[in-house]
Amino acid sequence: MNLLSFPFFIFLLILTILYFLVPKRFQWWVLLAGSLYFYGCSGPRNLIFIGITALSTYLAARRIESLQLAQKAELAARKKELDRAGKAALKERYARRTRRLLILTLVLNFGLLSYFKYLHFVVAQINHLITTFGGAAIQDTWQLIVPMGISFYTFQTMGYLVDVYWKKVPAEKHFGKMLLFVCFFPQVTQGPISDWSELTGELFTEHDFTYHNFSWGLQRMFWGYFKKMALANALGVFVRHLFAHYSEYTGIAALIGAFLYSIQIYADFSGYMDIVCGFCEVLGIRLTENFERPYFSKSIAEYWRRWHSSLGRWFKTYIYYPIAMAKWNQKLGRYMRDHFGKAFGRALPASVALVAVWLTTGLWHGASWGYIAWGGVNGLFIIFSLWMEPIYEGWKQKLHINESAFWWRLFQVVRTFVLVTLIKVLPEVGGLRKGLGLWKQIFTNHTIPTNMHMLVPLYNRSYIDTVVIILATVLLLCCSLIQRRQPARAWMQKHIPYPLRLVFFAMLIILAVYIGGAYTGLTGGFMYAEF
Amino acid sequence: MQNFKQTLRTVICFLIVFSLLNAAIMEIYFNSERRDYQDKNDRAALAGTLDTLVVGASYAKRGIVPAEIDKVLGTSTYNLAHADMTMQARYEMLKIEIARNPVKLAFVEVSMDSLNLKPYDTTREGDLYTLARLESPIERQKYAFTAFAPINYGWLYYQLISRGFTDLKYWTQGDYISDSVSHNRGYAPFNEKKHYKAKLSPQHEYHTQIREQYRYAKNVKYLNKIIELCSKNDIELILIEVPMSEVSIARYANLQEVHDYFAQVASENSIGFLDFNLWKEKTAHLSDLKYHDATHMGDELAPIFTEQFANIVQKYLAGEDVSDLFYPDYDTLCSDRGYAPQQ
Repeated sequence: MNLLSFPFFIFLLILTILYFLVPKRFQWWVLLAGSLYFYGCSGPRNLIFIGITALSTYLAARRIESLQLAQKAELAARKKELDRAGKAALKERYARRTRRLLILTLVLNFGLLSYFKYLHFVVAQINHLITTFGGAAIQDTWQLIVPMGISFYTFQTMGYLVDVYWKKVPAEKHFGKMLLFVCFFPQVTQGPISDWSELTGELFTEHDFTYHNFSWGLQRMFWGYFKKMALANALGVFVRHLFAHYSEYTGIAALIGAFLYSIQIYADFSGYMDIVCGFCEVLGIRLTENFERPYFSKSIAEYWRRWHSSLGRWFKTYIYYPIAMAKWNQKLGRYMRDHFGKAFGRALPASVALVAVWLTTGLWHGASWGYIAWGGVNGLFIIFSLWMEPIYEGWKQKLHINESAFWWRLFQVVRTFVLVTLIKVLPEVGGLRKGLGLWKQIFTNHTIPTNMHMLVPLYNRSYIDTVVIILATVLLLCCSLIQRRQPARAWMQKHIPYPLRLVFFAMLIILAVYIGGAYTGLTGGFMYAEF
Repeated sequence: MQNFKQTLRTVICFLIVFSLLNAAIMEIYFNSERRDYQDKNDRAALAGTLDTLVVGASYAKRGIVPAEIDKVLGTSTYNLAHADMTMQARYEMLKIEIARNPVKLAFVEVSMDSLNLKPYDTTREGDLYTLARLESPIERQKYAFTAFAPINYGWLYYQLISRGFTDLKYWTQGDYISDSVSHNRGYAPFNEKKHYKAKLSPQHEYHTQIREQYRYAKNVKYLNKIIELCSKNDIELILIEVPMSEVSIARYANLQEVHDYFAQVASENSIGFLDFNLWKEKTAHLSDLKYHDATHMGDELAPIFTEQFANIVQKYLAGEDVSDLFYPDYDTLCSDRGYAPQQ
């Protein structure tokens, strides 16, 4: 069910009415029924795969918890008879069993994800190798339809399982609740990837209908639809055109295209988040925020803490820390510190973890060398900054740079925006080779752009469209600036009279329909749903 | 309860503001005079003077010149046709003009697809044009709710908003009422001189295609309502087929079925039916090379055809038997003109 479709609005309306009509203890049942219906609309077959994930995780988590409890009980019962070595052996016996179960479930679920997402890519690479040595290629005849949101729900669910294994959260006893955690419809397709305690704390709490939630939630939804339809969809037409024909354009034009792509993907993804977070707000549910004005970041590392932050947090919790804190890595760090100095000793374990994080981040985003390279370049920049930090500090002191000065901060923000934009386009042009071709075009073709027909896809309908798109971009910037201090809605409530606010939001909807409909027939899909 | 009341108040206020803004944008489209069908001001100015009306789809819009009819018949004619005009729209437009004009004669163009356009589906573009020709918001709302299916409301909303913004652009450019769009009493020539060059010969195309002939109940209902409306108002009603190119006449194997259906309707209701595809002198006056495309006449042909059409109608109205001027059926036409393969 497309979030931009009329049936979806009807679905939301019915769900909201039911949610507040049923007795509060049944509210989460309404969400579960709605989520299963929503997910089932993507194809009943997909329910099987999400069901496998939910059931396997539920059973594994219960079993892991029961083993942990059994270990505790046995330790308590045999407290007197066991010496230190006996206790360690008993713990190790239980730990082996829980670890085996954890690994089995992780393999099953990540295996499913890999099968759907990476099979073609792996086969293509194997074929490449085989044919290089003169062998016969494997026939890739698998027709795989990737289940909706598999990347998101697999990560979220596996995060929960590891948390149970780490005893951070108790295993859920009610399968229905587990199922809702896995398939909660506002976040199943594009996240945010929430952790168990955060999401379930919201889902299973009883909520009252309040005017404040209703009003603020709707305002956020309208803003999200506007960003998606009036900005992302319209810019998408232009960006697609430019990326497909980048070699015909000058470097400046290609760079403008890359910047517009940055705005497009932000408007698209954050627009989606605004829609789903806004809807949840109507119900009284607070979802994890995924964006914190990422284009105002002062470094790439900060950017990744503010862009799709729930994914970043997942990688940090389940990949970065386990690797960075692993005994072998710590040992390596100590060795480097002893032989090459303190800075080396500190940076190396973190760098090893960062390499793992960024390669998996690249792979998570897509099965292509372009995405792997994209992850690699991001990681390289962050690792490079980490290693260069002491040198930077020295330079800053020598040059008397005041880090809190506006111009310095502006420079940092612009530099980061340019860098993330250049990295971002790498996999998006249609493969790594083309991505590098776009870079080459940007850096080598410095003639003044004369071929302004590049603007044709934007301009071919009416200059009013262009005005609306520029205004939308300015509005997005203003909103981000306001959000530095307070939510934009709070600012509006304080500074804009009620009738004008009504006009503003009504115009958002009208312009979203007008521009969105013109460029994508009203139903352009969301970019992050592809990941 | 307080929350609910406050919510309700806000929702109502928002809906009012939203509706007003939408109405304002849509009105820009409804009041524009840029397109050849946006003629309500012209029609309003002529109210009380029209005695002859033509309704139909684009074949009639592009093929019938009211001035030519008036020259021959001494009438005051208006061509109400527009592209993709549905039978419901033909009825509604006739009803409006009959109510404010002393109409004595009406031509309803019933070309081959007039009854088989699927209501609520393939007709939506035409119904959108019709909406822009209705004068009051109430008329438009009434028409919208009867002509469009709920599944098309989203499409309709987008179209109206989009056209409103497009016309806003023309308005800001001072081109809201376009001089380049001629409102010749409803006749709109295909004047870009991009004439249809019939590359294929009628012999080569002979009976290679069949037109869908399912007659939708809604279309038939409105045809009957037109007949009833004219009969109630003492209006001479003539069903007409505007001539297609020779290639098209030869191409479709089942034109006779269409003809027979309307002939039967005409006979059952004692009204006229003139199928100008069967007009014997057609090829002498209307060359395929001067057609705009396979079914629409170009600007050079329309006055020539209308003059001949009016001459025949004049004879018909005078009570003369005009059947000699037409082939009795399509088989005879095709065999006489050498389109049918030799036996």
